[in-house]
Amino acid sequence: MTLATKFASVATAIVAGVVLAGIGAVWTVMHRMEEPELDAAVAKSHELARDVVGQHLRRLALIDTSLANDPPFRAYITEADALSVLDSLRERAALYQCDRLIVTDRDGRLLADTKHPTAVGSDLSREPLIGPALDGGAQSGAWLDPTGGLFLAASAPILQGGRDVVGAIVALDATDDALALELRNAIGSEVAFVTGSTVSGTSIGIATGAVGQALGAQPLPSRLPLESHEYAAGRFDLPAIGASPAGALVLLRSVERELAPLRRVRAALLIAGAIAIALAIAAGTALAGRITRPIADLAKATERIAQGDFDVRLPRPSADEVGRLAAAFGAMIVQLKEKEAMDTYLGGIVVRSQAGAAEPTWSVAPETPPATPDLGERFEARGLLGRGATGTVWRAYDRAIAETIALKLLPRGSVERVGREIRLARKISHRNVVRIHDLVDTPAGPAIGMELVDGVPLAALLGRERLPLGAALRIARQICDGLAAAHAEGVVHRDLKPANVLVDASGRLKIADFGLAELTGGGGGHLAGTPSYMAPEQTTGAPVDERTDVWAAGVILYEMLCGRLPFRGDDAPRLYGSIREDDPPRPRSLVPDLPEALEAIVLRALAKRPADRPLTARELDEALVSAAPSGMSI
Amino acid sequence: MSAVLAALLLAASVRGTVTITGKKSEALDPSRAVVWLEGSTALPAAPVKGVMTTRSKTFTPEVLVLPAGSQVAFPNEDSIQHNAFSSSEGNRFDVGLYGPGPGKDVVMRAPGVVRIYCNVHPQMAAFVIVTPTSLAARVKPDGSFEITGVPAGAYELKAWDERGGTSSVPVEVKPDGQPAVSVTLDGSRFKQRPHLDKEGRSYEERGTPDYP
Repeated sequence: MTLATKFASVATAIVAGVVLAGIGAVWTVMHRMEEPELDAAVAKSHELARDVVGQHLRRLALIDTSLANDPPFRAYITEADALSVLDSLRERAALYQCDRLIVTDRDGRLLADTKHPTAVGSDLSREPLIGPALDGGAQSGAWLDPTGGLFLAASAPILQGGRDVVGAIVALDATDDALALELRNAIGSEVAFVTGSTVSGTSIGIATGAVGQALGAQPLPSRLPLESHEYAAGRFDLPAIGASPAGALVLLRSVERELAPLRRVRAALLIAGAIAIALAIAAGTALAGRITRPIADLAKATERIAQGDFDVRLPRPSADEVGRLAAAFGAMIVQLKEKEAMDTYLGGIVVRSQAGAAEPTWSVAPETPPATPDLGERFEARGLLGRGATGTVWRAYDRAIAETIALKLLPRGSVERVGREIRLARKISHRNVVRIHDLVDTPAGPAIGMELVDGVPLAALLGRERLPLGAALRIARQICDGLAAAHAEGVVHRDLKPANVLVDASGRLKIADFGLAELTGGGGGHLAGTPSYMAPEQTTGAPVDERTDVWAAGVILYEMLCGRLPFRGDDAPRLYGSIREDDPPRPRSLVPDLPEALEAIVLRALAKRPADRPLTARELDEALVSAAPSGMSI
Repeated sequence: MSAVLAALLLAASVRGTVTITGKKSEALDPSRAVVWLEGSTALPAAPVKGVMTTRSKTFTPEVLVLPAGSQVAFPNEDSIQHNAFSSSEGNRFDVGLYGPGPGKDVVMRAPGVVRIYCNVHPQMAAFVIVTPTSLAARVKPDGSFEITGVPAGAYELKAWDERGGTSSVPVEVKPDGQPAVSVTLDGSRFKQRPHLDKEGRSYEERGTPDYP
């Protein structure tokens, strides 16, 4: 997964999360609003329906009044002229668009009924609608006629002379589909009239079968699925005449229509959310691509460099962190290139040196090779590595650790002198210091087991030519590193010289023979060290310290940069004199293009008084780094 | 007697047409229009017996022309009770509610237009045109009319229609005849208004609670 993908994913995930959480919250709130919304809609419908039904009943009552107060009509009643009464009722029913009109005489006997013109004479005086009217009181409400039809009805007495009841009149409207539709149009809800579980009229046009059963259900569920439509439902008693309600009104609000605004908002919310997330993905991807492209380029460049291809193009530098990283990386690549070139160069010299040298690879004084020593049971000599003033160094197989090491044979009796120092030096563990494994006894005498370095002494390189500046600085810095590590353990080399600085084919350097200075001349009050690299204080037998090694490093640096030693003498006393007294030739007088700062460092390291030199190897190293020509990696 | 006879012998007919114009100057149906003569020669009207039948909640005929003093019977051929009344000045009457049967007679005394209604059924309306003389006629559906037995003399020909009102034209009747008369009634301003019941109330109003 690329960084861009990660960025885009994270950005998208965050935006999507926030958006989804927001939508979720609103969604939940809106979802919770649905049920109360539906219940409120039904309740509102009921209020409206109550008003409309009330208006309807008042209208029926008005029809009653208009007839009851009509003098000729009253005259018909008093004369019990059923035909004329019926005719008038029909006329008025048509005029007022009233479904049915009923008139009784003063005793409650049916005089005329527009619905049953021939049914005359039956006694209706016990009907809760008629009885009270005969007693002078008007009634209105839902009425179940003797045949089971549910009506909205209003009854009124017919008075003669303002007092005498001569009959009763009832205006009725059937609770049929037409009335349901009229009600629906007035209140905007689907409506059904129900008597018990019988549906007398609906505005949805179906009052039979499953729908009828569902509408007549008692108790009525608050959500009613009817004919693929879901309704919020409520059942409300119609105004009663007498004690118990004769019928009920079922009000239905289409869930879909009622929740449409809510659901539209929700849909809009979803769409907006989807758009937001899509935009977030697009923007996140684009932005992540833009931000990370330099990083991706950088990563690609790094991979190519790791494969050894330094010819890479880096992202254009910009002001941000990535730009700075790219710039730094660019500088690093330049340094790496140089470093690689340097290591290749150094390695080349080493390889050439090895190839050109006969076995052993090096020696201070060419002599006939010594006989292979008896190294005892543990070690097996496998060839001479070198021969110096202190003894021979053998490539030896250490059976105890099953590893080939370098074994330096020491003169017999020397262990007493150097044992302490060697034990100290053993503590040094650094890539630029030859690791001392052990101080052992062999039949051939005491020996030091050391890390085997597959390289050549620096001395072998210096004999040939002046080293290029970069190579010289690389070597000098590694010497400083090694010295610093030793000094940290409290070990001073005292005999640092190109002969015991080993360089391997990859250009890595290791300082050998820490702790052995005693063998070559002794420390303390004795003259020790190799004359050319001895510090002034060594020539006089003055105390030595880290700065003595700094001097030696300075001499080596001088030699590498200038191709010659800083101090010369035909014999040791003259050399010592020169070391103590003479200023070395200025490096720039020998190598004019040498940077001045470098010259100053070399000269500082070769200060006669230790106090004037860089105090530590680390300080020398830092000075070298800052004196290196800009852009040069060392 | 001889004078009457002589007059009759000398009598002529007045012919003509009645045109009723509507709002858009179109000719309206003239079949309910009535014409009569009023004039110089006092020719007494001979009362007749007219009949205005109540049938299927309609007064039949809708228009009746009678000389003053004539009697109009109101038989009821429906099975329900009806009423006939008029509030027209000079001929107020109310026969009350009456069931099927020959009904009551009413004498139309004063010349003029008598509007007759049923107090039960507002849709029932008829006109009795009481003329001063017997010289009257109904206009035929084609607009023509003929008044016969008119003695020679100077008259005012009056034409009436519910929509066009009354209009008069002078007519000189000669024994040897005269040109046809043409009368135009302007019905353009006519507006049908619901009539009131015999109490002077609108039929709709009387159902209201404050109706006595």
